[in-house]
Amino acid sequence: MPVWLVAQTTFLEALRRKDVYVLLILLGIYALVATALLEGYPGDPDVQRVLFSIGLTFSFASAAILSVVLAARQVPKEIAQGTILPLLARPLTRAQFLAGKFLACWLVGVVTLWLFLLLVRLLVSPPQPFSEWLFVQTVILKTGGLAAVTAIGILLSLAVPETLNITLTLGYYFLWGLIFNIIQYGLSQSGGLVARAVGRLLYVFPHLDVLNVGRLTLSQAAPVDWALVAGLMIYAAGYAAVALLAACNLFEKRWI
Amino acid sequence: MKNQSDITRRRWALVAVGLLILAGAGPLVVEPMAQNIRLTRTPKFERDRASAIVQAFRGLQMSLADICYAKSTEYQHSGIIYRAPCEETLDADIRADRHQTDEALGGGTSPHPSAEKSPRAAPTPASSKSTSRDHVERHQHEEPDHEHNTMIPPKEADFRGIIGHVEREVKPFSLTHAAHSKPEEALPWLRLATWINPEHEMSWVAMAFWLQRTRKGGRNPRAVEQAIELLERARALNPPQENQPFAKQGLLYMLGHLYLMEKKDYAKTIEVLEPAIKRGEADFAKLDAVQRDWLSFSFRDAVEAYRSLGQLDKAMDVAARGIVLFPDDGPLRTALRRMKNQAKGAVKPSGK
Repeated sequence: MPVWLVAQTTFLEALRRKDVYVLLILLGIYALVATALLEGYPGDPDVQRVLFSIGLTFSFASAAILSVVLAARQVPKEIAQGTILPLLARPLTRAQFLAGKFLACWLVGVVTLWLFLLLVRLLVSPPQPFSEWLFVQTVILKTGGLAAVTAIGILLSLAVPETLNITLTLGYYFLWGLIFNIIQYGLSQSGGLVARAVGRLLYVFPHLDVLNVGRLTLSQAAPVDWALVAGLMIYAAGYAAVALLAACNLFEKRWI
Repeated sequence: MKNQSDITRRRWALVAVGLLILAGAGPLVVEPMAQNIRLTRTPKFERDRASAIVQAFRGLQMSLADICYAKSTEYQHSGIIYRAPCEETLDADIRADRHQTDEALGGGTSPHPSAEKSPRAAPTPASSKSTSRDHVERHQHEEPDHEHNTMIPPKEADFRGIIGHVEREVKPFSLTHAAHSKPEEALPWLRLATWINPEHEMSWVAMAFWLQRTRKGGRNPRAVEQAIELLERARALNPPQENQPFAKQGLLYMLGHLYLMEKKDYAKTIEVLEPAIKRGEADFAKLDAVQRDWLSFSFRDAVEAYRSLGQLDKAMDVAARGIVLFPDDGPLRTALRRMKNQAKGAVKPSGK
């Protein structure tokens, strides 16, 4: 299982990095603030709602940031340090190497997400109305979103410098939903066949914003249709697969 | 080697096909979810309050719109920044406009309730006699009530002695209210404010008010139509929400007022104002002072519209309903009294 071996090594290495300490500090700060506020305003539903909302946002954001930062570093770092040569000299294809790296970065994001959400659930009572199933769906969709964004990070790490990659990927992840809406609004105002075609063409870019349904968790009592969740997971998996395949193509051609 | 490049080509083809499939199927899975979570430009109270982050963004959105509105007032005063409590220019102008309307409708002899409430907006005897809107505006700027606390105080209120005296002599300032520049200059800021926050009622009202004034001197012959068009858009963007008081009385008042005074379209005036009045009656306890002011103006215009259509019964009914909510509203009371007299006059001859 060379893929799993690469993933395991990368995962353990990621745990040793300072990025994880940042996560732990964030968790500590959140726990401290949440405890202080809950002590100060016991039973206040608005405080609970705000803390729960901030907890979800922090967990989603920190998981995505950690995954992308790790994904952006993996291949350039291995190349810069020269450690990629002994790795590829082993019975390990470049595709397996990339898959292992992707798996590790994704898992770091998933573990971060789950840890943070666990802390949120332990500290703060969920706001009412609340659906446990919707919460589960939120976590599942977010996990799918992390896979797609990590794969995009890996892909871009083979094409652009690390800092630019992080900026582009995270900028895209957090802002594309908003930018897409603005562009679509502009196109709908201009009208015409070309505008409609351009609007349709924009769907080539993945909509990772729809995999973030934290807002529904905070305001809706009923879970989303499971068929829709399944469709969105296939959508996220599809983009992750396409990005990884494109990354493999680029990596195969890459002179190391 | 050729075999390798074939494989690469096939892989890229696979990537392209994958992207096409995902782009084609994308709307089917994306849109149903996007409709649930998409951040709308118009705030949605119930949904927004659930998320702290959305609330923070909403705060930013509101602040940006407020900044644009404040900027428009800066443009109106040729770049002079007034402190917030001093800046009620639009309010004063609209009140003056309202007062003129009331005079024209025959209620001007009664004490003006809004003038009683707001001494700053109270017209001087000279201005109340005046028939020109410009005259009213000029007097507002000259009258002592309209002067505000300035950044550099007048001699009587200045503790700094000679330093204050020098500063006043050098006059890097004016103690009077700055003259208004052309309203066109402020319009882009107001439009920007309404674009950022389509619920910014004051910006819609101000924009329509100043826009319709650009008709003066033939600068913009379509000014009234444009103002009405804008307010119709504002009305569509600000529909009444269920379980929430309708706090956009100003929009509907201004729209109805333009139909009444500028277009003389009385039926349309009623079509706009009746729902506003009904919602206002239902939500009266929850409305703030500003919204109540707008509502009282709507009552007056609705009465006038019914009267102009010859529907005296309905006009009296609306006036009576208005008096229930605004017992001190002079123009409404006067209008009702006159309509009653008129009705009696109409009945008497037939009684004989």
